Amino acid sequence: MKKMLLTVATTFAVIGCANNSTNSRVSNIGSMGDVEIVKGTVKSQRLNNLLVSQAVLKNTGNSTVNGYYRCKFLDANGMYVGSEQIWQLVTIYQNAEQVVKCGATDPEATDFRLEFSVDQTNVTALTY
Amino acid sequence: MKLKSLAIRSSLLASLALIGCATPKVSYVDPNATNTLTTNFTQNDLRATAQEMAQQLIQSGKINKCKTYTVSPVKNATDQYVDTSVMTNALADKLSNSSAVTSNYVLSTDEMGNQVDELSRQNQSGLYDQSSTAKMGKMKGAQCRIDGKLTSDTSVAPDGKTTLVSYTFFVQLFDVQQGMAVWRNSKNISKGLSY
Repeated sequence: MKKMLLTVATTFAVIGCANNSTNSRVSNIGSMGDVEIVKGTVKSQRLNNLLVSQAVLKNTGNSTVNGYYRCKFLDANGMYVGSEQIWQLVTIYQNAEQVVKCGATDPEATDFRLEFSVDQTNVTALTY
Repeated sequence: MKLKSLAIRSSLLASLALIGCATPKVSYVDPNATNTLTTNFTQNDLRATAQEMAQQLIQSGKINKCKTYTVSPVKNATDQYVDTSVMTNALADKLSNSSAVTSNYVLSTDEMGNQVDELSRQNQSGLYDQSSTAKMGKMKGAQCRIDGKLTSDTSVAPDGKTTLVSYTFFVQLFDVQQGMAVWRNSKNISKGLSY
């Protein structure tokens, strides 16, 4: 019985770890262009009891890309925590990788969603 | 001649009609969207930098070393008019609303005037039942103080067609009694304009 419980617990732990590195947490607003998420780099961990999330983006194209990202944090019940964040700029040079990081400010946050857009017009209020 | 005059009049009327069609349009927009209409330090930049600095401070856990804290008005060392009270308030809002922060916000110098007026009104006007008034000399002092400063640097290309404006927002957390920095960080933003 003890052995069975241990196996179940280990299985859950493995699923937990696997969930920490999938890209189901990344949603692209519009096309990703030449930018791709480096496999296994979408991760999160708790630091001072606060969730810190990160992803590594790679620009496979031949020119520098200015992308925009922001994070949303969710509690254990899947409810969004905190206020909407402002889009942040990330510059990814050709054939280079760039880390994007977000930090929750509430301990209730247990999961996150990373939104990313390479097209500035998707995240800009007004243009002239 | 008459025909030529008629043609000129018709084209003038058509032009006026076209200008008339270009009426201004007002719409609500996402306040969290990026703003690329100017190289000035906008409200979005104010909020984004202040929120990020507050987030970094919360994540460091250093703010909880202070029982109480206050936020001094952010200094504007740029060559533009920037309403830095938005940054001061955004810092205080983010810190006060985070359940990870156990330290309590106490009045800043800017908010002191109203507090003194209210205490004086309750204690010195003779209009109030003294058993129900807030007493003088009971306010909590700030153990720590948050200081912020915004600076900028502008570079213009020799042909005048390209401008680069870089902004830096410095934030420091000081222990008031010891005058010691507990935490410090900065955030940079660069904006370019080219014709």
